[in-house]
Amino acid sequence: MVAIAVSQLTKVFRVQHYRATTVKRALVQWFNSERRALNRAREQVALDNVSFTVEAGETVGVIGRNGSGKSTLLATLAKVYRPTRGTSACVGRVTTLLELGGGFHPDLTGDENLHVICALMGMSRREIAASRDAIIAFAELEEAIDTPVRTFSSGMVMRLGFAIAIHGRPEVLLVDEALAVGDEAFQEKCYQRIEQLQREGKTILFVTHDLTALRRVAPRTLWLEHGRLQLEGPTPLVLEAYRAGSHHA
Amino acid sequence: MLIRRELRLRYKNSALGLLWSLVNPVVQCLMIWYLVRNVWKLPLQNYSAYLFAAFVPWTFFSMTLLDACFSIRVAGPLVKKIYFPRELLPLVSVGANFIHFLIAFAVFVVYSQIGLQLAYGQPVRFEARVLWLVPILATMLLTATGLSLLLACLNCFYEDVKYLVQTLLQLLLFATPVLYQADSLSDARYVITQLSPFGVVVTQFQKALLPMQAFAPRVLEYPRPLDPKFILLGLAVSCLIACVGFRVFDRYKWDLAEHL
Repeated sequence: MVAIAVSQLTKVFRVQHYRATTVKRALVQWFNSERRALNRAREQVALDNVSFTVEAGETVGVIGRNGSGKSTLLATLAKVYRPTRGTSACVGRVTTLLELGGGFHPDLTGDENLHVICALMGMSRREIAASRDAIIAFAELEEAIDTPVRTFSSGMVMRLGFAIAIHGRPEVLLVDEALAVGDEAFQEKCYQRIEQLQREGKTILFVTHDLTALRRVAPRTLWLEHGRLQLEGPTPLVLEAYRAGSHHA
Repeated sequence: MLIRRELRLRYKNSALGLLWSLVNPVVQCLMIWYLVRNVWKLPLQNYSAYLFAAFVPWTFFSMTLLDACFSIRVAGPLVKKIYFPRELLPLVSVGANFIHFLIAFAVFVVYSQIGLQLAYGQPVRFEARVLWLVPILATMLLTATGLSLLLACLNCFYEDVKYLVQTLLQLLLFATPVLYQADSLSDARYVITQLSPFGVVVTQFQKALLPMQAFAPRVLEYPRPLDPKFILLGLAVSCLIACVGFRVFDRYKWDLAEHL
């Protein structure tokens, strides 16, 4: 059964470098033709005709240089962005870890943020109450959980984010380069959890620059370059091509 | 549901929030009472109740619209990282302010029954008209929702919309019979105020709850009664506003993430 289906996915951002961000500026621009000329929208193609499928239970890694569109791919799959052309779809509940502390409100405590994000992911009151302790325990944040997230270190933020993402009982887990910040012990914990999710038959798509982790966890890898799917296949193969490719560049 | 939870959380965040939303209307109420009694010395019965009754829905409107402007921008990081129906954010501002409204309304009821009883021995009696509150409140909520969605969306693209809104609200305050009585307006002006959903809600809210009194015997000999046709018009207009709000929001909601 296909869990993630991406077909001819294209995402184009229309970037206006001098876009008026206030009504006042917009009015000024209205009258200023030079500004208008400078402001012509430029198209930035983040994803170009990407197609692939992921079967349920598969774990697939995504690699590519910075700016190759990996984060955009995950964000589009997570329905943060809408595709310009083509389709992207995930079957089942999707939880994401798209950015360090993404979605955390700095003034709310860890506990309150936990509630907000879980609620937004669609967990009911009961589910949140049931998972709360497990999340805090996994993140090893028992003491800090009632302080504002502002005071957390980046490692703590990442631990909380990851803990929430995996306890959301996802069918599909999307992870974007967020694991790098944890210390080795925690990273180990994360990978063990990922392996457990794999045993449970969950689908995982994750972006990483850590090639050893990739080899360990993902049998299959996608290589994106300039928004295009450069290569797709068994991890060792793709990694070799990637290494070769980056030495050329 | 999801909204309740998010609401309660937002609410908790303004830590003293819960207490403050009780304190605020009480203070307002006392201020008005004091002004009416000792400063203006108006000979009308229970004028303070009328003023207060007009303020309660007005405060709801102005706070909701202002909060709505911020609602999405402030949650920027959240919007960019997690999928959830974006409509939730402005709706949360409507919901949270509605709770403030209910609290203020409770204060009003207490004041009109007990407070006035203690002060003058004449509490306000509620009559069957009160049932009209249902469509009136529906109008209020629909207008607020529609406009909130519009404003939240607009403020994302143009940051200074919130300042515009503040100024417009000032103007609107004068265009709506809050600080003055609608009954003291000539017929033509009265109709104009009743055409705006804000005006209708505020005036008819007063009329539904409080007994009629002649406020300006020179202009009008007898007070205008509760006017169902304006209420229904207001309801229809507010439905329209809500529809437009949803439609516009729907069209732009995907672009929001990209512009934050």
